[in-house]
Amino acid sequence: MTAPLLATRGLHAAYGRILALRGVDLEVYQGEVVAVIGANGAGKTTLLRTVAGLMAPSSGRILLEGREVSGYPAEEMVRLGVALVPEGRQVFYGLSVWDNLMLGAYHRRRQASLRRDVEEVFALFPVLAERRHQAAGNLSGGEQQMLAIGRALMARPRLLMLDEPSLGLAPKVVRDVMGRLLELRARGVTVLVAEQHARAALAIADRAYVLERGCIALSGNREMLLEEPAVRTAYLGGQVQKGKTISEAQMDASTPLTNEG
Amino acid sequence: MSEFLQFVASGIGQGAIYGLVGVGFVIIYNVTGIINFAQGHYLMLSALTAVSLREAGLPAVPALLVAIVAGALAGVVTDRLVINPARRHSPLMLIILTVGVAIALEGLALLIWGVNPRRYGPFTAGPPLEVAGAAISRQTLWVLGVTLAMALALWWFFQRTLVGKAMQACAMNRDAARLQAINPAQMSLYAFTMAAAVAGVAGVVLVPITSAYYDMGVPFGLKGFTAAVIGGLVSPFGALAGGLSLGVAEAVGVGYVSSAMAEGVAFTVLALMLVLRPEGLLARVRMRWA
Repeated sequence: MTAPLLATRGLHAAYGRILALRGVDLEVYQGEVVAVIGANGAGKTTLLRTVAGLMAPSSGRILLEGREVSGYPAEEMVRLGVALVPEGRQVFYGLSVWDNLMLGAYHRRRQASLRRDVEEVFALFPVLAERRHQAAGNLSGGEQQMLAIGRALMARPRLLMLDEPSLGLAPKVVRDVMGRLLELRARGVTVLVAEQHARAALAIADRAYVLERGCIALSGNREMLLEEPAVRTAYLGGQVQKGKTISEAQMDASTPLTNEG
Repeated sequence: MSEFLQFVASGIGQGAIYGLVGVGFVIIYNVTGIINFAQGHYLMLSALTAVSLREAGLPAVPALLVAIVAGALAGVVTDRLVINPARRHSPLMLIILTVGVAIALEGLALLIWGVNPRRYGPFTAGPPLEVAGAAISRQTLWVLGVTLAMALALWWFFQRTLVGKAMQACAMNRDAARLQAINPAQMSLYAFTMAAAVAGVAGVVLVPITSAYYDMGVPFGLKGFTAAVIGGLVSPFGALAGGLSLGVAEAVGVGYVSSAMAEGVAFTVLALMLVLRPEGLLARVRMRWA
């Protein structure tokens, strides 16, 4: 069996003395869309930042196709095919849409295929083609999200990670952005998306992990998680218990987890 | 009025030099977040190297070019030997390290060149030119021409090249830049090299006006810093404009009050700027060249 494209083993990460990840084991296989859902502060951003190489893990391992890449800097991870669309999009406001896209391909700036790659991004997000000369700061939130994704795609990643792509976007735009992620999977890009907006993430994910206080509380395929009472109460707003953790929701749901239907 | 014009004419040459030194402060500050207090010392190093090469009989053009490269190399050395190894420390620590570099360069210059000022003549000989009733020296025109050429070159670099845009991206959002495989350490090297080269250019065109001397780094560095602060530390063109206005203010102060004013003007302006308007006179102009 082939090694997963991405695997973390007992991943710990900390801000100073505050532990944000406490032993995360996660796997993403080639061609999957995997979601990490969890409340604000659960450690989703830390997880993606650590995998992307913006933070060094305090312990544990990160494996890319079985190869140890723990502690590699972000610049190197991009070259190895791991791209992150950061939380809040973080496009370069003062630069044009075109320049933002070109910087996404910075490490392969001498390659001849850049124009074709830009055309592919424009085909995926036609609005970016219309606005190519505008400053990124003048785009709407949804357009900026598309630009941030397009910029990440310009690196030709094998694994595209997105941190809260729905943040601050109108529901219609969220559906649009999520739909594009499915198109990307059809083109062979593997996607790992962290979302507080569990419903939006589960709508497109093959599998998902539920992250709580730095630990994986639950994982499974989409159908299983959508049916899971604890997930429904804690993350899908099915009951009035929004904001509860899985363990609290499990206590509340009188049926134990193992005893489904 | 003609008297005032004369002060302006004598001030803009020096002011352009302050501006060029200030551009270096802006580039390094934006890309790395630190203030490089060795900035004036690259100017000194290039100026004295140019004098020595001319004295050794080298023709003007190669002598000046080699001297500029020497200044740029001092920037490379600053980044690779001092800043890069200490990268994990706070900006304040790195700023103090640049003060150390400045002191070391000044000591080195004292050992090599001694205390006496040296100079070479203007690039083109001849009497000053008359412009609107004010006499303006030919070397001042050279300084202004070179400054304009540098401004255009920098504008082209930041607006038209991907590496220039990567440096801007690094200044705008370092983490996001790293996610595009833009290495901040490499951008820092480019910033130091460019800043030192620009200061070196300023040094070699300045020699016929002020001479070159081992301890010129501190006054020119602080005035360059003042120029950059007037521009809010974020705009290279703001720094150039700041340098020109500072140069003119100095000349006016010297002309109307006393020659003792020369140093006082710059430091008064710097203190007032930092206390009253630390965001600069051209606030909200981010590292932009358009």
